[in-house]
Amino acid sequence: MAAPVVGEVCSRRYVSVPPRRRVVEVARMIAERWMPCVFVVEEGVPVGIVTKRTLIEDVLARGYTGMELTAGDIMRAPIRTIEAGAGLPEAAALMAHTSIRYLAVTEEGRLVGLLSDLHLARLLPALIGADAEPGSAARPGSV
Amino acid sequence: MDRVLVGEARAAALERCPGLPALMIDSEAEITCEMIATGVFSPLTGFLTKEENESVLQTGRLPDGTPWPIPLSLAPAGRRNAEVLRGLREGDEVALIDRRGECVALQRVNQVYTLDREARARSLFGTGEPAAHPGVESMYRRFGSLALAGPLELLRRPGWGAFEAYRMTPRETYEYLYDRQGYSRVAGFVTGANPPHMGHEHMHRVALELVDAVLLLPQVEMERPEYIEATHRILALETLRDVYYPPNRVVLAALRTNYLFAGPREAVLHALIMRNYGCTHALIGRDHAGVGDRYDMYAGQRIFTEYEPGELGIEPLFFSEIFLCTPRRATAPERTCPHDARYRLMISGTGIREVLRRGYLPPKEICRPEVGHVALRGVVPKGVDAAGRGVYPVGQTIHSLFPHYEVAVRLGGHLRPGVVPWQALTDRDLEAALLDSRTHADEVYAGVFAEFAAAVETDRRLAERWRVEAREILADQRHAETEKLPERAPEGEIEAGWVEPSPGRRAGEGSMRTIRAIDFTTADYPRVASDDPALEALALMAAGERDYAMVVEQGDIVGVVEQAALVFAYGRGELRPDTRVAEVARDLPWIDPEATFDDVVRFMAALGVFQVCIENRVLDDFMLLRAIWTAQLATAREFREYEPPVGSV
Repeated sequence: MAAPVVGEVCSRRYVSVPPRRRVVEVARMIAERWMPCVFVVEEGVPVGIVTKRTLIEDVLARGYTGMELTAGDIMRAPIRTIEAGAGLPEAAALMAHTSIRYLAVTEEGRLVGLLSDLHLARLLPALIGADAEPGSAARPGSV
Repeated sequence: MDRVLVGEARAAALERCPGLPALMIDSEAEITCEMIATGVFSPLTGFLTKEENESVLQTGRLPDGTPWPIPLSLAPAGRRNAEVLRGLREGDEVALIDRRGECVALQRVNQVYTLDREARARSLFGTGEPAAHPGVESMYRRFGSLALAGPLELLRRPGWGAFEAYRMTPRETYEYLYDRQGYSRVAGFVTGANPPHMGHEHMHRVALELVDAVLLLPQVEMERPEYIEATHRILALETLRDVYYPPNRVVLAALRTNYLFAGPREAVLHALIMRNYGCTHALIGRDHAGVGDRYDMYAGQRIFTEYEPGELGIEPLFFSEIFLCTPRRATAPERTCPHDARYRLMISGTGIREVLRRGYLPPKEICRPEVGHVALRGVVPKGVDAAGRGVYPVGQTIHSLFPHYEVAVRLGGHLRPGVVPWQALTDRDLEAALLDSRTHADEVYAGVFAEFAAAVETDRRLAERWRVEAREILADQRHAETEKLPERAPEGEIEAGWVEPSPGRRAGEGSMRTIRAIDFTTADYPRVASDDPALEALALMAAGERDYAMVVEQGDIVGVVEQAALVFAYGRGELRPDTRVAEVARDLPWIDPEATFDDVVRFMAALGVFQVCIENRVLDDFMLLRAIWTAQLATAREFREYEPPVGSV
């Protein structure tokens, strides 16, 4: 059986907001819907990402209420993207290399989904062959 | 081209004059004769025939294909002139005399034909209504029904009065620019009714970067009553040249052609005139030779695509609408500036003129004070125009210069609750907008700089003392607030312990700075031991719907293992089936049980962690954000009251 690719395991449901959306609205979305992040999209192109971390570090810790800022003000950019056809080891390597937990999944440059650490974590036992012999580390790319 | 007779040829011609049939021409035709004879309208040698007229109107070219956009016709009005014209035959010579009876030029008769004024007006101006277009009005007033075509020779150059000092023929500009100054590339600029402003200056300076010199050709044959007098416009240009431009690189020569307001076609005519004066480049702005909003703003630039490159003998340089961008403190066209209209002062010649008419100097950012001063003295009382309208509405003046005023309380300021329509604006609003621009236009960029300097400069000696003092006071105040925290949360050793969930402890009122974070913690989290397999922790996380599990030893939280850490370990190739929790776990910071939400937020941000431990209970980033943004805190009252716009998700 062929190894799964990013496009098969990522979430096709994600929330995006325009850069002008107020942070208080973005924060409500994240808090009320249990979403880890929101993409900031301008004319169909993902230009940034707002995560829980962004809200804590760039809004609350700096004394803002969220009323006076927009998503465009605080978004982290550039956004990290990965093509839907990429392999999961490649995605994990990218996350590890950049220490980020959320990747925008694109198809020919168009945003189609969200791949988070959660999606990969679910598959980790299969990816490393949990029934393999103890002590054998599975290197990304070997799956 | 030089068709000005001198010496013996002129004497012989003057002798012939009294015996020739004579046509009395007006001063405008007299000037046109001079322009033809001195080569300003080259390659024309005289007024056009009927066939040439039609070809020009239909194709923008003479019958032989030479580009020429506007027909030059001699159709002097008056009964006596009509009688003379009817008696002329091909090959005759006719004397053109001025109102004093003096012979101005001799014209050889190639053709006398009936001029279809209405067709000409419709083709040239898009309307046959005199009241609808100044060019049509002028034509009906000046032209009779019979026109005369043929080459002419000039006997006497009319006096230029106040503009004599600025009179230069194409031959003279060539000699000055190329022989005397040794230039090789010169840009021409034809300017019309309004005093020079920063938009013009922007174009001139761009051109001065590209070429050796700029030739300013102000049209001085203006007849609309609302304009600044030509004498003062030319003085204003002279001031600009002398005070703000490099010596000898900007040349001023009056252009005595009639302003037709023929929009795009006139833009091409002006380019050809500039070429004839020796220019290699023509500066063409937006709405060149337009009147009101009759023509599309950029039609005067698009028309040049109808001619092959090089065909006109001059290279046009196009400019879009130029405004003053206050954050950049520079003039800029739309395509180079990211800032919106709230930060702009628009550079409208009409708006500047109307501000002058009301007795104010326009904002210094869009019109030099030296120029404004001269232009103010040349303001012509407006009275009533052909349509019976009085003064230009003050709201339109504000709209043309201060577009932010209708939507924002001040330049770069907050938006008004609603848009104020320009029709509702009064003289008081103009005063307010002018005062606002004087006070704030040059503060925007300075303010941005001051904020950055105050925030990032480590050596404060350059900063204003009052700003430093204000910041010191602010810092003292913040420090004082922090100092109060130990009173609420006395320092001491924190006992690690187990606290059962107590839902009833949720506070209903309070603020980020008063509500204790512990009231929002949980003891309901996945627990693992250091020796457990990491993959087992993953399974517990999934079951507990958390992205972390607490590492618990003897009942105490000693660390945390995060789902992301396992993924990262896999990404680095370090995750094995037998990887233990201890290999991927990290320490979990704890915080005092009296800590407030504000403390926890700063703590998490400073340490870059997603969870904190408070008395063996856990507060994670999701719980924190939910507590704040789902209106559980009293400080969230404003969030509760804030209703996002419909369809915001």
